[in-house]
Amino acid sequence: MARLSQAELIAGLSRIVGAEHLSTTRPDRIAYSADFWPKAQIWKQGGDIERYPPDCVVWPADEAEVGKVLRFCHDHLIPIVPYGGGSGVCGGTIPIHGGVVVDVKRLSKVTAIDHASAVVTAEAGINGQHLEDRLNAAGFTLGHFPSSIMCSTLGGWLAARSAGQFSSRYGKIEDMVLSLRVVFPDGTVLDTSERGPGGPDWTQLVCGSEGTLGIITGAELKVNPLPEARRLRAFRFRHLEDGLRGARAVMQAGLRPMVLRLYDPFDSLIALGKDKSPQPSDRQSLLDGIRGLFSGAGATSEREGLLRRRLGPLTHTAKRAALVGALSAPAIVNRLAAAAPSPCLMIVGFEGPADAVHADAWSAGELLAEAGGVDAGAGPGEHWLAHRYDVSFKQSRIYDMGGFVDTMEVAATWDRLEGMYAAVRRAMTPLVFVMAHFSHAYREGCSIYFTFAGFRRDAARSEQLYDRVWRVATDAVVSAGGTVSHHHGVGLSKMNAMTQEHGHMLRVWRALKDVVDPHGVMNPGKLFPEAPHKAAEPDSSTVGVA
Amino acid sequence: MTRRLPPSPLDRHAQALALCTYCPSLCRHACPVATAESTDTTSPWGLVSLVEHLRKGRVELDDEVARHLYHCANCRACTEACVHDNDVEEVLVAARAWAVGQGVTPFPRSGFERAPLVLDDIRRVERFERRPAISLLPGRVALDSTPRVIDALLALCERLDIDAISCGEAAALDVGYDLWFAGFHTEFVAQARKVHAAISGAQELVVMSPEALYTLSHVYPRYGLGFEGALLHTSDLLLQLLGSAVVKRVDARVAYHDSCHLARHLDHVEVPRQVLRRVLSRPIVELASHGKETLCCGGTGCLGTTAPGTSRAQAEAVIAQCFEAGVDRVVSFSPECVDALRAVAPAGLRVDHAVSLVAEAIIGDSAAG
Amino acid sequence: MISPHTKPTSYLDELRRIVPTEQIEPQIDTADDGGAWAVEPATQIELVEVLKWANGRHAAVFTRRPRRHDADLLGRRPRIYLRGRRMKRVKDLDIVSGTVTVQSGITMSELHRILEERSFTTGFPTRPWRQESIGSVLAAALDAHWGPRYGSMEDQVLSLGVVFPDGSVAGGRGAPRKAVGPDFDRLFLGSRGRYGIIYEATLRIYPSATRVAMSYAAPDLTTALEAVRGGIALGLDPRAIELLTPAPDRAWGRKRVGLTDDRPVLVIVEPWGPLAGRPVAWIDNHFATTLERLEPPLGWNMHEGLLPAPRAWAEPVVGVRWARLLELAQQLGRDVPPGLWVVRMSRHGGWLSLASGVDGPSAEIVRALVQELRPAGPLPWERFEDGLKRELDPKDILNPTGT
Repeated sequence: MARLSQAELIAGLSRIVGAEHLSTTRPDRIAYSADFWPKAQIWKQGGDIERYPPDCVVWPADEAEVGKVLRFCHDHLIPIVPYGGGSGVCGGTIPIHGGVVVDVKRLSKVTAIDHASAVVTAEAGINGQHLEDRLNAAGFTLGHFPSSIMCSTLGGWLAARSAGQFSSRYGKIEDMVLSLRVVFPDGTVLDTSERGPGGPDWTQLVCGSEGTLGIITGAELKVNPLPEARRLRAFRFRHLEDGLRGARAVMQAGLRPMVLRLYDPFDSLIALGKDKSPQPSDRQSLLDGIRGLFSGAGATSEREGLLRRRLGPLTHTAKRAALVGALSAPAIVNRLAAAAPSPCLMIVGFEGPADAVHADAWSAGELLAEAGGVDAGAGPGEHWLAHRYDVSFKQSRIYDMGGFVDTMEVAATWDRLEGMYAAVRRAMTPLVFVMAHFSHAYREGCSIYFTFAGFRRDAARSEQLYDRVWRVATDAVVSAGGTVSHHHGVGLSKMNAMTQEHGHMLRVWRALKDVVDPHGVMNPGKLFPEAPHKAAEPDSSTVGVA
Repeated sequence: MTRRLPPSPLDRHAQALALCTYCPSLCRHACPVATAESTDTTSPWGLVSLVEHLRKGRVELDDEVARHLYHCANCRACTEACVHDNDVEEVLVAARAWAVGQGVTPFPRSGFERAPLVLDDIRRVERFERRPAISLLPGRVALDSTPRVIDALLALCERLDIDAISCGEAAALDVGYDLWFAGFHTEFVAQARKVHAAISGAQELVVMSPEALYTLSHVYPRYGLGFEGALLHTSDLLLQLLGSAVVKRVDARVAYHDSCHLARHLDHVEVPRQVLRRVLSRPIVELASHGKETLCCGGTGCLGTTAPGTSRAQAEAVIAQCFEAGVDRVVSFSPECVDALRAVAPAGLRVDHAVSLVAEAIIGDSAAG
Repeated sequence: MISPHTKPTSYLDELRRIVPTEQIEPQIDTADDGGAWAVEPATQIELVEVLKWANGRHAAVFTRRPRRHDADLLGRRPRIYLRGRRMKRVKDLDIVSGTVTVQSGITMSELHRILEERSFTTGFPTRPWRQESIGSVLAAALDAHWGPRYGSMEDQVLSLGVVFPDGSVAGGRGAPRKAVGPDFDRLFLGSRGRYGIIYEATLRIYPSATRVAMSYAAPDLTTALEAVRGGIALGLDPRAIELLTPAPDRAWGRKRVGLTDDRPVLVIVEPWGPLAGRPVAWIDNHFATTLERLEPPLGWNMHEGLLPAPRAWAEPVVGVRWARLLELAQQLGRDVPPGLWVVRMSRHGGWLSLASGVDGPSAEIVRALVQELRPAGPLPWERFEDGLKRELDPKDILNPTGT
């Protein structure tokens, strides 16, 4: 079939969604040309603000229109990129093959709140914070607090298997979803609440598909009563392994903290806000330079004061110089950080019915003390709670200064966790400054959240460094027996690790693609390395591989 | 070829622009415009990024691009949500002014200019003075849409024996908020001078429109046109008046809609509520979004001119909150909000200026018996 | 014309080259079919080779016992009946992470015995399927009674090892949670061996604890449901809560456990050691306030006395939310039909079913609800599932349905 001209594409789609809900304007094409993949941020630093603009953006009004848009693109072999909040950090919504970005944010209703059964039904385009606000007003919470909650959508959470900061208690989004509705490219709507006998669980096959199978239009989710009480405690551990032992003991005792985070020595330094121990001065200044960038230091009260404190007494230029200095010699800084005689901080918190919270917090305290934890009061935990979203704000400061920063959230069972931590650090420390915390703890394992920052003189070199870091880091994770993503998803950034991650299981994905998306129009070039069909777009050389 | 820009007035905002451009849109949930439009392009992040691209010459300025910059209600919810306290208003105003300076005006100036208003109705009030000691500035929208509220307010003052207040000739003038926010700064300054001249000499200025009050108190001083007397909002005046008034409390479930300029720009959250508490026999019904978290009804920021559909959708969202709260009456202290909400309110929901509610309640001055 | 036995004999020779003779057991043949053998691979390699052979020979591979009509349906295709009993190794018992990796042929009772020696257990019930292999339980999604604490059967699986019909092997070590695409393991859970053979599974394990099952009798469904709902609302988070009325043909069982005409509804709660969210005494106090405590408390294996065993349960089981459950209870009033079963009760609802052979207006009400909540066919994804089958098993060798 001959490919449609741009005019035919616009005319065809306009007939479906209405001309006012379709755009080809420059600002729209720029805004929808990337998500928050740090590599795209590096492109931006280099002046490349729309490397992969879509041909157009459409905003369907409802599921029926989504179906028609998909059918149209399916019939005419036009790539489709489903789009929710665009807050992904893996490049999952970058239209690398152009085509149509389908923004589902007009599907934003809370359809029903079933009070008796504690179940909410909502459309996929609803903003996370808006959904939580609506639930709160009804006396519920979803218990899902990703740091992107302000800018991500329900559909995006499901598509990328999102996790919130309270996942130890409430689970990840795939644990909360009871069923979902998804539209496949031929326009078929699948409601996974109607599972046939002897059929597979389509909910979990669609969850995590990152728009490569269809567009999620809505879901039923479990919700929880608003907690009656909340208690946060903090502990200091002299050694990381003691902290991990304590974390494991808490989870395996069957306790369900809403949060359990263990910071590695340097991350602890930042989480605690200030470093009380005396330091040699050169090292101090280096560490201060970096801490200034990441830290949400100090008290919780005055925002203005806080901001100033975070900026420190240094001017912008001086800060930039400190950053460049520090990040240009990552190995040294990493060594200094590692040598810092800082204890590892753990934050553990419980919420729920008041007496259960007190009992659980007490039990956890016993277990953690037994593992060598020293009580640090409620302060650090409360500080974390108040500032738990700030980390995302901090990143833009580093970009502003010409550096880059990214996070890698990997997971493994407890037996491999320390090995993986060491292996990843070993792989990354020569290249970038790296720190980590262990969060999202479960009975059988935990996730490690690495934050790393690097600097090169220009965007091209930064991009090279960035790719190299990811390559060595994911290799280290795979060799250590972990999974390369706990909750950010795959997108473009981790695609190269997927063959190692899944092996022959990828056959299932190819079968799924063949069955539901035979023309390969759904988010082509994402998630898994080999597209089963090249039909969608011949130009595979541009797939975001540097 | 992209236009290589000389050091532009936008450079002053370089850091704010960069911080916003690289931020993953963490104020996205707060923006009523982007929510109503279901897009990320007109979110604060989208707009500020666009300004940054313009500043760096990566995007060419044209009508289409400039038009996007006018999708903002200036509700300031984004700035409240921002850890960097990035001032989106400042950035947008600077960008619009810069665009106007380049001759790119997607919306004609006439859409933001207001001819001197006709004060005939007001003049009929007996105590009209050209230069009163306490000058009442109702503002354009109040005069156009809810003139009876002005009557009610003046009548109320009369009933309570406050005789120094009057609409002076300054009341006929628009303070120029729209011109300023739309970026027509030469014209704005000219207008501001006129207003400044007309109000100078008054001891107190009582302003009904929150956006006008904001303009007078925060914008005028930037141009050296600060008002020397006391600037009061209607709610401040009413709170003073109510101290000595005999009140027959109104028995109704009434919701209060905070104006963005009042609550966020001017930090006037409690005074209006104190006024309402004095005249209501039941507690004020708080909407799901209230106080500093109020949801913008799209009545300000010249959004009605630049994106009327969006403005309407925002008002509908506020109305939806009123229904959720289960009220049949909602009041606001902003004539702009009242106007915007009335335009979309269904028959079952009464939208009033708070002055009307107060007028219902006040019987007279206690001192006067 | 080739003698009907020529080919099967050569098939057998070929099979003998893959697995030792003692692992092949010829099945009774009819005159003109392609031959049938029960094959017991002892290793993953043998399993792979058997499947490769079957794929090459267009044989049918069943993971169940032979049925009389298999030969009629498959004509001259040779048939393999896989038996997992030799693949029963515990490959890794990781007490640090609390996981166990086993070959799929191990029986539930054997697995539990081995775990018990180390003071662990699984999240699976220990009794009803004790002679079933873990592989068959997973493939059939014999999903009966798990409670809010451990989640569903699917939640017990950290990762699966699967052999595809062409002999390719997939699977890995699990991580507690992942975000690396869809959870492909779910395709094999509950799909009864249509897409691949599960050869290995990594399961979550839990410290064993004294099992206490507490049981109470309620006068009607509403009272029983309210007690359960109230408990959950107050933080009760046990291993399992179930609610049932004995089937009509189990009158003796009913009498034995102490249910009466006045109190026909049984509520059973299994706190599972210290992990119930609330202490045992609290739970007992909560339920005994509105319900009658049954003494002595019943063991968890009571289904066998009160209801047909899960394996024999042919009736549909549907998920019902609390709102509908409470509505149903209102409709029924004091007339609760026998053979009613609400399992896996959680904050959101439970799974409802009604035994066959129960009549009367109240049974009709329950049936109508079950019917209403069943998916109405034909379902759009059946087409997709058939498509998946064609993609993954193009020759239709795995548990073919006869075409």
